[in-house]
Amino acid sequence: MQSVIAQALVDGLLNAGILGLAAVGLTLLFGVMRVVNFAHGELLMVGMYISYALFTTFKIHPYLSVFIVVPALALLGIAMYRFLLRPLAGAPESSQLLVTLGVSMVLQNVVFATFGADFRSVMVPVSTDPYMLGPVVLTAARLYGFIVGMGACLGLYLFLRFTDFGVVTRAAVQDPQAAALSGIDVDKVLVISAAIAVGLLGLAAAWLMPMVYLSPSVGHTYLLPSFIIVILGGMGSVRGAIIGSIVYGLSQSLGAVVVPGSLGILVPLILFVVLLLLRPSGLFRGTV
Amino acid sequence: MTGRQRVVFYLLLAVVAIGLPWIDNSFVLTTTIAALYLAYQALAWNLVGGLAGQFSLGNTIFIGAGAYTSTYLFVKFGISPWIGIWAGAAIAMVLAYLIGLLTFRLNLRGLYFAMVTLALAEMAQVLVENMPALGGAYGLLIPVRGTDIAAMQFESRKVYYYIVLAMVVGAAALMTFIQRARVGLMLDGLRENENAARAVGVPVVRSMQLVFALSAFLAALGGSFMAQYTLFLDPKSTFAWTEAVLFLLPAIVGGTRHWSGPVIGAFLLEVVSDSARLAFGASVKGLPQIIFGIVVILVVMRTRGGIVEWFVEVWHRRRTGDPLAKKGGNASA
Repeated sequence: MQSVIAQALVDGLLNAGILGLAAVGLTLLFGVMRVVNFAHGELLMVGMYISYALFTTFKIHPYLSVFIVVPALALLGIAMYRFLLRPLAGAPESSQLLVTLGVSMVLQNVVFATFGADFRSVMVPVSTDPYMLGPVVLTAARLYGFIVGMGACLGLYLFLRFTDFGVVTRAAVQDPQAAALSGIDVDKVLVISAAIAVGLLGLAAAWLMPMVYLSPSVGHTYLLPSFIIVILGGMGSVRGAIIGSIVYGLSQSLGAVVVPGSLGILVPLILFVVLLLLRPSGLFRGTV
Repeated sequence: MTGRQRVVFYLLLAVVAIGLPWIDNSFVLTTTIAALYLAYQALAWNLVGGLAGQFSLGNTIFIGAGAYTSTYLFVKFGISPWIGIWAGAAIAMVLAYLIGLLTFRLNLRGLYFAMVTLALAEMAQVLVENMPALGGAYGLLIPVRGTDIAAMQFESRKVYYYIVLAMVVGAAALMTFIQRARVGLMLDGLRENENAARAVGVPVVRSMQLVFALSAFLAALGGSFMAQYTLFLDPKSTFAWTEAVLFLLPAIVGGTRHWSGPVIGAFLLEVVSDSARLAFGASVKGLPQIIFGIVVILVVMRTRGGIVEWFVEVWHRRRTGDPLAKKGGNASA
């Protein structure tokens, strides 16, 4: 039992890396443009299909595909901002939510029409290479996913906290008008933020590829967890999203071991509802 | 429209609606039943999503509560669905009251409310999957009885058509009644500015809980109806979040301020998706959903409050020749 718990702890922590990548993008989008992006899971899914197509046609290793997937998704993010979200600036919260919902339906079903609903996977050596840590077994893919995911999350955090662009971004979030008056090009900040937020999904997609089965509906598997993480951590807080993803990852893997049957899935959901009721603003406030 | 025009219009609508089964075309009938059910569930969602402005993603909880209650009572105890649907609706109202207690009272609004209801719907699915009495993940089958009025089963689709038609009329009437009642004004106020509404003494939480419970009531009746119509029920498709989204789209596309919004939205989406299916067959999978998505994006980007409001605006503009004219010549449209 002890080794089972230890395994669950490690698994949960490792999952947190990739979940964190999806969640920091979501929280950044919310922080800088108050957009609740329901297409987040589908954008991740599209990234995974690009990575998959590159692997099957050109035999490009998923990890190398980031050089194509990340720019591709960043462009998608910019396009979404330019053509759908910017025109809706100032509209009620629900308008932007609905537009991203529309985008998610279109993306999911375009992929469905192109690739069908079959489950697909990419088997590369890292998918199965084991590392032993005492009684705990972890595959290389999960370990690398954690390292890259957490690394990128921390990188974003440090970037927003300590660089000039980070200061400018935070200023634009706190008070767009005052920021514009002090000479900040708010629109540019938003474009770059959209590119970063969606581009990070490309990173997540490439590192997920060797360890999951891919289908057009895979996006939804990540949507609710990302939202839960973002709300847990405090909407708009990158630091909160990182902590939130660890809390979520651990509650998910421990729940699966401790609670019988598929009821384990309830653990993170209950945790979410309870935390929301006790502390609706989340664990952290602010942009970083 | 003047009073007399209005009477003529509603009479015509009633004649078309009642006379439709005489076309005797099973495709038309099936499609219309689907569109009416979509309209009905959208009207149910609209009570809380449109009138109270609370973006619920958990209406599948109530649809499921209704469907599972009436089906369970019938399959295990032989209790007629005509009784079971009311039991299901009562359970759904209790659930809505409890969820409202958790969310509205604790000031969870907007996105937070959407996420909590989404998470609760997911929990409902997992719970039902783990209840052997409710058929677990496989679901429940309702034994086929042929035409048996007590079992709410009819061989002719026409009967189902009239039932769902009556349900739509009932839901539209309830919505209009709420809008004209005192609570309707309160809802207008709290939707536009909750703090201001509270300051002038609107019982914000109680008003929200009322429409949430009524919305759950309608959704549950619809769930029971659908279970009786398809004679099958499983947790995955009942509680899928795509279902929750599907049932709010007509209200968004059509408009949330008048009962015709969700109804027109539902018929539009149904017609569009069926023509796409007829035109391209099964060769392009997911095409109806792609079109749904595009329609939603266009409506949200191009109109302010759905197709009905947009149409009314354009109509008045053309009639008055004033590019800025709105309904009634003032800004209240």
